[in-house]
Amino acid sequence: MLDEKKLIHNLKQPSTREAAYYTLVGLYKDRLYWNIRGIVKDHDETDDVLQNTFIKVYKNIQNFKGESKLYTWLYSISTNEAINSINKKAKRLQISSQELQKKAIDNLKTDVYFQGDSFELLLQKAIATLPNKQQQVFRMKYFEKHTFEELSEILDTSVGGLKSSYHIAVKKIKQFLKTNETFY
Amino acid sequence: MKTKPTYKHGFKMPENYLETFESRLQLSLKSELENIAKTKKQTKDPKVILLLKPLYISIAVAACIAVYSSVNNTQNTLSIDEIAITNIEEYMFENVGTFSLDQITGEFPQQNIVELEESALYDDQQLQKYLLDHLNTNILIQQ
Repeated sequence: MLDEKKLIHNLKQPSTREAAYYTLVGLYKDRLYWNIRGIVKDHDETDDVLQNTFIKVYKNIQNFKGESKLYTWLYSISTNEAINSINKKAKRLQISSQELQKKAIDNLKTDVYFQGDSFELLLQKAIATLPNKQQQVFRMKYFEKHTFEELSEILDTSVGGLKSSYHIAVKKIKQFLKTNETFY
Repeated sequence: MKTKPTYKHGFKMPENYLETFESRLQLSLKSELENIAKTKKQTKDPKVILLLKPLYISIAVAACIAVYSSVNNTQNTLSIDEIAITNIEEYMFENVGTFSLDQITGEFPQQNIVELEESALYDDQQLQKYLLDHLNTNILIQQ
């Protein structure tokens, strides 16, 4: 595996930037895709956001100081880009971002790139009822199986705070599923 | 490093999506960088147009002075007192044929004509003195 420090060094050198950049894309595109997809739900929109994320990375690599891990930095950019994308779309459609998220989940029923059953659809609805931070923590812990230590570094939050967020998120989701279980 | 979600969330990625991602990103990045270069080029050599170049200012000031002085000159009316008597006499002498007596007297107020007539009166003593002073004896002898 390529040493991260060397990769960052190569990204900052004009002569090695291009090759290092596509190495970075190859390393992280998959993980970032799922992070974005979990937020925006739609595949085409995820593709746009993922491209914008990597373009932003290329333009700002000189500003990366290396104080955090590269993935932490990439993860923050992709999350911000995904949230911005939702907000822009909601503004364009003159609805709130919560309403847009609800609409996106309703569209999953007919989405060819969603193959979940009624429980998985209901779970997405339950997640959408959570505040943004709790949604992030829940998705990363539940679907991507990150440890709390990893989450602490990526989200720049204490392990205790993350455990608490996750616990509250699980409780709310269980409550939502219990209330709506007759619908699936 | 590739990690797919380990718990089923129902989302599916299109086939070969990740394999073709780099080539699409390359096109997007190229287009983005071209746009940036174009924007930089446009802002690199901005055409600065000085609204008040010193040369224009001096020309404008000179033009203002010229206009002001010419307007002032045309507004000045020449007083009769400022014309030398000799010039008036010369003009009258040259153009005497073009004026009738009525035209000339018509230009003077009645009061001035009365005063002129009064001043024209002289007595015999003055006349005699004038003739003695200006008498040309040669002419008299010839006649």
